[in-house]
Amino acid sequence: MRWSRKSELGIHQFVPSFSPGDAIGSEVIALQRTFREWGAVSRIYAGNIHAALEGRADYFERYHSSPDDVAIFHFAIGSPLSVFVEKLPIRKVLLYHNITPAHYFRGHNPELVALLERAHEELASFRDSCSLALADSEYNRKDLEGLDFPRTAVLPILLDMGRYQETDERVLRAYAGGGPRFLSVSRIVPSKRIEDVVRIFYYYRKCISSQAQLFLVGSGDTGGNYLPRLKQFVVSLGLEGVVFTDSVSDAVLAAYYQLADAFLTMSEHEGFCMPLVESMLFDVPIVAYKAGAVPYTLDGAGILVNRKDPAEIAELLHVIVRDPGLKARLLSRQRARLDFFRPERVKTLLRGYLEKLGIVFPHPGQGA
Amino acid sequence: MTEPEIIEIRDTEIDVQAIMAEIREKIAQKKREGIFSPEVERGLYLPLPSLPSTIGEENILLALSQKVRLDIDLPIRSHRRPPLGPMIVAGKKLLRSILRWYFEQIALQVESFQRGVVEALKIVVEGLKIEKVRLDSLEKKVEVLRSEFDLTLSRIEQMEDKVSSLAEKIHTPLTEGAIDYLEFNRRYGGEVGLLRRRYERFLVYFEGCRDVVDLGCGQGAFLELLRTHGIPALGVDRVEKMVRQCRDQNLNVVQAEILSYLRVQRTGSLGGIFAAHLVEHLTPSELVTFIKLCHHTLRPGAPLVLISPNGCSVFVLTQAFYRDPTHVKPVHPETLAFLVESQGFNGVTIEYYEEVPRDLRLTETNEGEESLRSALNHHIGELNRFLFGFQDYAVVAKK
Repeated sequence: MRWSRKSELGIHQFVPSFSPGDAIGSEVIALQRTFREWGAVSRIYAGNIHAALEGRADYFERYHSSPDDVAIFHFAIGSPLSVFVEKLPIRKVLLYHNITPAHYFRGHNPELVALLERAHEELASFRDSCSLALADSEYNRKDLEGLDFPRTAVLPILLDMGRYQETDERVLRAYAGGGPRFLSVSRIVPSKRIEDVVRIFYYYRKCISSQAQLFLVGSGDTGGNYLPRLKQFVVSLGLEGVVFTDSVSDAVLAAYYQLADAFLTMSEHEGFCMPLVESMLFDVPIVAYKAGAVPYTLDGAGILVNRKDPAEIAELLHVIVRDPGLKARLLSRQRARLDFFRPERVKTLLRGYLEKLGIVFPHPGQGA
Repeated sequence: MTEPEIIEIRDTEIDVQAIMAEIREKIAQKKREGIFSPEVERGLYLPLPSLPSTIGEENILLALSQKVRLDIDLPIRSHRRPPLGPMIVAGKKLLRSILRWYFEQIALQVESFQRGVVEALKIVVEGLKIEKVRLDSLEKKVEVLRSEFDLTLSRIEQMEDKVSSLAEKIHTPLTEGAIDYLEFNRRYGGEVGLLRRRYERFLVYFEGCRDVVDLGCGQGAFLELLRTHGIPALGVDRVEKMVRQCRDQNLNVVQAEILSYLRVQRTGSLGGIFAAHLVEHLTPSELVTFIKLCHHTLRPGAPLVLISPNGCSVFVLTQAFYRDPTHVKPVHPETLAFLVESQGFNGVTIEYYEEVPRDLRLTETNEGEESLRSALNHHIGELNRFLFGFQDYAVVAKK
């Protein structure tokens, strides 16, 4: 049976928390635009809606299902939304972004620990009730396979390229000149091991260049006391040149990428790691700790770090800074990898998956 | 299996090892120059600091203290209109004043119980505060330990790198335990009777000795000779089957690694050492240790006889020495003599013995003109010495 009507196909997204600036929030917006381009009715429903996005989404309790609707459920954490979506009498497609292990948040954020701990159980409840479980990396897909999901596939995060068109000139002016600039972009939470990035930078400032700068871009809202501890750590090292930016606008983010000589992450858990793709987009050489989905997202691009030796990694950053030949080779591979994440390619992939489920879109897709 | 390099770059045109070698050299140089000082290194592994936090005990105590006293003088009202309403109020007030003594007793008991609960909670809160302080200090200790552990781990990782690269360079000899060495020895080492005849010539050095040891005694050929001549001796071998065979012949034998055995012997406790075909199983550094230990454990004047295949004979090398896969390398007779002498032994001599059978050697000619024949036979003699020199040699010495 075909379960779509050409005139009024509804593909709605459900997300526990709809926030600007994070990878999931950006993808939700990009997907909504895509579904609408394809002629479907597409709304966003969330448990929490960030003030900046008020009006772009509805609280999920306000959703009333229509039999032909399709629910796209973004899953990364336990929430009351899971039970709500699971019970909806419509077809469901899970979009799995991985679950951060709860232990990283113990001693930092007890509420989050509880949500993360129950997340696996909630995820498993979709095993039989979803028509397809998509994961944004092969690493995540293996998680689903491990939970015996019968139908799984990989769909890389759909980038919203329009996000980065503007650049905040004030940021560019503020940090122009000076020594090498390193960038780390992520939520400031314990699993990202930002203290390890600080350690590497500490060596760089002490032993290579006292002019170097480190930009730590991201919000510490969900990290409990992690951000204050991190700031205290920087103070106790007597370390200058570290900039905590908190959550930033797309234009400010673009400015930091343009300023950076290298992107650095020592994160020990990543379900996809969007900033790697952003670094590819902005031609910033990547140095990343080999954990979670990082090697899958890079797939041979950038430099993977197997062991955290702050001195050696700092010297490696210096090699990248002063060796244009090496930098050029790294960037050439990164550009080649970026092609994999081209929105047109991801859209074609997504449309293919959905059409296999019998969903017929009124309008043709690009390249479809 | 070697550990992967600290970084991975999937680009064959980038030489990761060269980059890392350069980086490590730079770090070493910065350490030498004091730029990468111990203080900076300590900073690299400083733990993330804990922040002081409270358990909100002030709020808990405040909330409790407000609810201890009971108010029994609650307002008395009536929703009915006058004159009935005021009459009901007056009646209720009368009733309350009559029963007041009773309610006051109950209220006092309840208040007393509540005070007890508050006091108990204060004790619990104090306990929690103490536990919190203890927990904070433990957390700090754990962080310090973690950073020390990380530092140690990274040092171990560096050492492991070095060890694994060294291990690849070291040639690891095959031990006798890896093959059936008794059977191998029976087939290619000569039968015991033959060996006994060959070793007979060395008995003379052990006459009148006691506490003689035969190191690497094998099937016990020399031990039997010693027993026949009434010389008390002990055999030592690390191959279990060899030891068992010796014991079957009621020979006194222990199973042990030769160097381990010598290390536990007291200084000057041995009356003589005989070791046939042992030294070629040792690495050069083990050989030096072995001779040192021999000197250490022998009594002054006690004999030392070390027998080995003669590596100066091509026949021996090709037909005997390299046949045995547990041999490490041939020991040149003069090298062995030099090592023995340099460890302090006296009267060091080299005895070559056991000629290659005549029918295997090149034979001299009787034909031709005298001068030509003589020159030819001279060369044949030289070739025979080079190709078919004595099969074994012994270095004989005294402490």
